[in-house]
Amino acid sequence: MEANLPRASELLAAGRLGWRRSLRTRLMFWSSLTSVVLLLGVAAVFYAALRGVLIENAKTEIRGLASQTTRGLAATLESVQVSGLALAGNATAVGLEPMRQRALLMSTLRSDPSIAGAMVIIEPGRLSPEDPGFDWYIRREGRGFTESSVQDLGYDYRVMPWYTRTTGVGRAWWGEPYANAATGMQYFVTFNLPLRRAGDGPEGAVIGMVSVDVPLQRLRAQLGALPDSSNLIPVLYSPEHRLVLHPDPAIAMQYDIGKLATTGGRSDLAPVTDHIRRRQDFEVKHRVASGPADGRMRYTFGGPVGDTGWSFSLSVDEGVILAQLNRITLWGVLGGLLGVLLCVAAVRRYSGMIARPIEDITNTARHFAKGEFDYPLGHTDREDEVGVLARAFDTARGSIKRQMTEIADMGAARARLEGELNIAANIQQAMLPAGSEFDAGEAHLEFHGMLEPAKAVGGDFYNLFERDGDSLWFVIGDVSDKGVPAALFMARTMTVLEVAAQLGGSPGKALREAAKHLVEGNETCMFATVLCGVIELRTGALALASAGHEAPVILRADGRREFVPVPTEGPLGVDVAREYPAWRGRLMPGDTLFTYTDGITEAFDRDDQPFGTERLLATLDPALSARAQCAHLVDAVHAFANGAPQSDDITVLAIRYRRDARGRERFTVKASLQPPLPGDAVRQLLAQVDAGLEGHGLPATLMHDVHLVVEEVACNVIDHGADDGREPTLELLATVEGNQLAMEFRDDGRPFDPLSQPTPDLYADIADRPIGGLGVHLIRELAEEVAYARDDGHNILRIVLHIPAPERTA
Amino acid sequence: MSLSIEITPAGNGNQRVALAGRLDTHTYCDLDQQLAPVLASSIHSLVLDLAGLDYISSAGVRSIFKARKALAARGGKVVVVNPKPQIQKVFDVVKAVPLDEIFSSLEEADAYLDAIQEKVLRGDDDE
Repeated sequence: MEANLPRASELLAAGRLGWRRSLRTRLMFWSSLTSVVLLLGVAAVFYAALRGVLIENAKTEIRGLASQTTRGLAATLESVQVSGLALAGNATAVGLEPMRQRALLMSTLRSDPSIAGAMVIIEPGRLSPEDPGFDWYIRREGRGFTESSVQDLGYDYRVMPWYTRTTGVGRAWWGEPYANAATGMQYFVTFNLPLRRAGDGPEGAVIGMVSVDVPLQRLRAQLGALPDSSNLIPVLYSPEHRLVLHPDPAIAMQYDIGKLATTGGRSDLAPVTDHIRRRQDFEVKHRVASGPADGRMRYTFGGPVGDTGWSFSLSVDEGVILAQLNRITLWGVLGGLLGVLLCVAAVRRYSGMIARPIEDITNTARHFAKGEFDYPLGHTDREDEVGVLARAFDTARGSIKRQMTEIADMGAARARLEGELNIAANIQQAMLPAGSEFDAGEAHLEFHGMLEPAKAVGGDFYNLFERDGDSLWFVIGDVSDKGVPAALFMARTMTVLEVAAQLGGSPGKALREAAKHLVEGNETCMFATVLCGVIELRTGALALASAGHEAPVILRADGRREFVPVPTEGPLGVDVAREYPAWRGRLMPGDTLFTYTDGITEAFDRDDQPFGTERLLATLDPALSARAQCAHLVDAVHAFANGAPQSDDITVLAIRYRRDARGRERFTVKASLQPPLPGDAVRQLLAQVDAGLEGHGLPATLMHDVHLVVEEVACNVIDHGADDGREPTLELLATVEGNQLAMEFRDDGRPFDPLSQPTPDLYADIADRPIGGLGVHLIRELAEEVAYARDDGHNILRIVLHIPAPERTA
Repeated sequence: MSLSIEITPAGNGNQRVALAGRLDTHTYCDLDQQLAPVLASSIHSLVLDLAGLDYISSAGVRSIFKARKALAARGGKVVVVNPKPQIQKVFDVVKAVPLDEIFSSLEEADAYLDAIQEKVLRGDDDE
């Protein structure tokens, strides 16, 4: 399994995970940074501490060196001074004997190797009025000596400044270094002392002078005791503060310290100048203000050389003191950095060992993210955190795979269910009859229905079927609820209703039959509102019965429209009503019976306003065919809903009644009854009518209706028309024209309008029900047209019957 | 054409009356007269066999109403058997007889009445 895993580093190299963001890089970065900071911190602390110690040690050392050198110089100079003093003390004592004087000079030279030359001058006439004076000068020359009279040196000593100063001031002093032919161009310094007569005190008269010369080289040798380091700067200052000895030839003998500090650009030397002038020991730390060492920090230690007037200082640069420390520190830091590099390499290697499993798992996770759930996952058998992570990952992967399988199964099941639902929807639509036309002779019923379920399948339904060749049965219904349960109940309801309707009888009877069946085994308490009706083709006679269904609309040819007040009982499925009373009426040619379900009236728009009955009535258009009427209304409902979701199944069923105009011979029949009326007056009148209509091929059903109308009208006239005992005369003029039979009854009885009688309550309980009023009701139901007028003392009742087309013979 | 009325002897509280011909303004009185003694007897149901009836007007319907009322007063029933279409049509229009009391054969009517009779005898008061 491990072998199948591409190395995480390869993936990183391929740029799938930027190296900057990888755990390993971050681990390495932070560990290196920490090491470097730690290293530098430690180095800085040690450096600071060591620096202090080093500087203090160096200062102590230099201080010691300076002091030691000063003591050496003092010893040399003081020895020369002592020699000079001894010479001066003895010179007057030995008198003017030249050989003695010379011997004294020679002994002075021999006694002190520091002394390179000695001179004595005794002015003439000072020891005694007649003495000739004495002057002599002896100087080392190689291994031997050269000597001469001072006067032989080529100048008059009495005018020389060193002579005048020595004799004038009367005190011993060090002259400034000089060099000339007599010194062999070596720099000498001279200690000058005045001569007084022996026995004179220090205030005695000066009679001459002695001097001893010291080569500068001799003093320079004293500095040779210093460590051989070009980093030390020893400086010897003359009593006039001249920098007599200095490692820099450009400065040695060229400057006095005050001049160097002021005009030599070395302002940092001002404190040194001050100390030397005051003849104090000093330690000064100063920063070099100019020259090749410009900017360096420098320590200078110095002080007076005994009581000689000379001064000495020793300087050292701080850089020199710290040079080694800096070098050590540099090497230390470099070594530390090397260590850090090694450490980083180690971290890289070790972090690789730690991070690689995580990177492997990350790589696998990346494949998971792309849906490759079978990509190998390693490290599940480890016992560390990575192992826990890998196992958790593995478990999650298993769970996801399982659930994906389940989801796929569910998807397949859902697709299957949807497929089945589509088939069910097709079956359901196929159960609904297509729009068509049903003809019987000249009469036509065109019908059309539309059903739009809210879901795939719905609970609405409609059905139409012809029965006995002369009547069209139809039902429209709405099952409670929606979806599959409603669809199943709808199918059952449709079947039951069709069977019930085939039993014959009235729509009410069919509903009652259906109700009985649907109540059985209806544990789920589904129910359906149903409107059932039958239309007689020849006459347009309409009977409707309702089980809780919406009232249908009759749209008259002339545009009048009204809801039909069908008496209604509870919906089918819950209970069986004792009776589903029928509403009876007639469709005249051009009329449309429009039925629907509450999906129309309760279609809501976006503001939750229902379509409502007013809009329904307003939308219907008498000029439209049944098919167009349905489409027109459903379109109106959709437009009204304006995209709001359909809440319920929408179903409409329109039935339009048409009758062809028919040519028929126009003829009239007259009949009358004259008082005194016979006992069988009605029958006699009927006989006259029958005789007149006979032989014109009028259908038996029409003749039956004619008999009923004539009997009812005649009975009314006979019963109500008698005026003061006078029997009325009744005349009947029946006219057959086209498919209409118009009967005009004319009597001279007292004014009586049968049409003004109230419609009897047909639904009252038999015990309470009045027995009268039925005749007029019958006439209204049978006639297409009924009109009453009172004219010239006569009641005129006009009744028009439709003549149905002759019954077809098989 | 007139009305013929055939009253068969009563049995088991059921009185059967067969009508034929025309029941109209001229004949309903005959029916009323002949039914009067029948309705006055102790029968609790009247079966009108209308197989032969060709015509009925509102006057005839009134006679049937009267019979229904008379029997209803003491819990009895009038049931109709075998009406011709035109008779049925008139019945429908004026609601002369409840639909469940119209049968297409005497046997159905007898079974219906027997069931009711049984209920009455058992004292069942479901209805």
